[in-house]
Amino acid sequence: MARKKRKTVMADAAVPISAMIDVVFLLIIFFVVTASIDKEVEDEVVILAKAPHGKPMEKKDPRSFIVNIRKEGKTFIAGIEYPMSKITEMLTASAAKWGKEMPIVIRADQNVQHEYVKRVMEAVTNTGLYRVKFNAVVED
Amino acid sequence: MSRKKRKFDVKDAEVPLSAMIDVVFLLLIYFIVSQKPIVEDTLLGMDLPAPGGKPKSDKPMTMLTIDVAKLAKNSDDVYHVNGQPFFFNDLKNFLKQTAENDKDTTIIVNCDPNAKHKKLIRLLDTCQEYGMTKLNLVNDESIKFVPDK
Repeated sequence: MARKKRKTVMADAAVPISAMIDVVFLLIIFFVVTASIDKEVEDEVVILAKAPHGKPMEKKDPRSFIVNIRKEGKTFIAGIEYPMSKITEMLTASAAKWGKEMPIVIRADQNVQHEYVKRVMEAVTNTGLYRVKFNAVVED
Repeated sequence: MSRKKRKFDVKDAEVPLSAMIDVVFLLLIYFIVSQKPIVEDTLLGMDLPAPGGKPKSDKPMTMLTIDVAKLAKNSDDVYHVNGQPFFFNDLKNFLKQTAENDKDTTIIVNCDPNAKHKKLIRLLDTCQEYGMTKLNLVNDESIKFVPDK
C-alpha cells in the first residue's frame, strides 16, 4: 500500500505541458493574426483631429492609399518614411493600377502645419487623382 | 499488476484545469490591457484645386470665401469670411444661417500654410454638420511658410 500511494502522488505532481502549450500557442497565433493587419497601415504616432459631426466610417475601400503625416511634417506610408518625390511615384503607379477614382486618405496629425498637407495634396492633383479625404476621429 | 495499470490510466486522464486556467486568464488579461480602445474614424472630403485652375461647373453660384488663418495667441479662434473676422461660434451660427438659405453655397477655403491642420478639420466638420458639401480648397501662395521649430 505504501508503495502504491507514493506512485499516485508522483503522477499528480507532473506538469501537463503539452495541453498548456497547445492553448498558449493557439491564443498567441489568434491574437497575432487578428491584431497586426491594420497597424502596418496606420501610424500610431499620428494623433488625428476630432470631428464630432463626421459620419462614422462603415467600410474601408480596399484600394485606399493612406498617407500618414506626422506632427513635424514627415510623411509615412505603411510605416516607412518616404520623400515627396517617392510618394508621387507611388501615387502614379497606384493610379495606373486602380484608376483615377482611387481614394487617397490623408491621416494628418492635428498639429501639423497645413503646408505639409498641401504638399501631399499637390502631389495627388499632379498625378490626376482627385478623391482626397481627411481622416479624423468621431468623438464628443 | 493489471489493477495497478488501470489506476494509473485513470490518473493520467484527468484534465489539469487549474494550470491551464491560470495561463488562459493571464493571457486574456494581458491582451485586454494592451488592446487599444476602439475609435470610430470618419473621412471628410473636399474638392482640390484643379491643375488648370478652372471651376468645375459653369452654373452661377453663391460663393463664400473662408480664410483659415494661423493659430495665434490672441486670435485663437478666428476665421475670416469674405474678409471679415469671425470667432468660431459666430462662424457656426453664420454657416447655419447660410445652410438654411442655400445648402448649395460653394465655400472656398483658403488655408494659411502655417495653420494647424485641426483648424481646417474643425471648419470641415462644421460644414458637414450643416450639410454643406460644396467645398473647394485653394492654396494661398501669398503667405510665406515658416516651419515650426
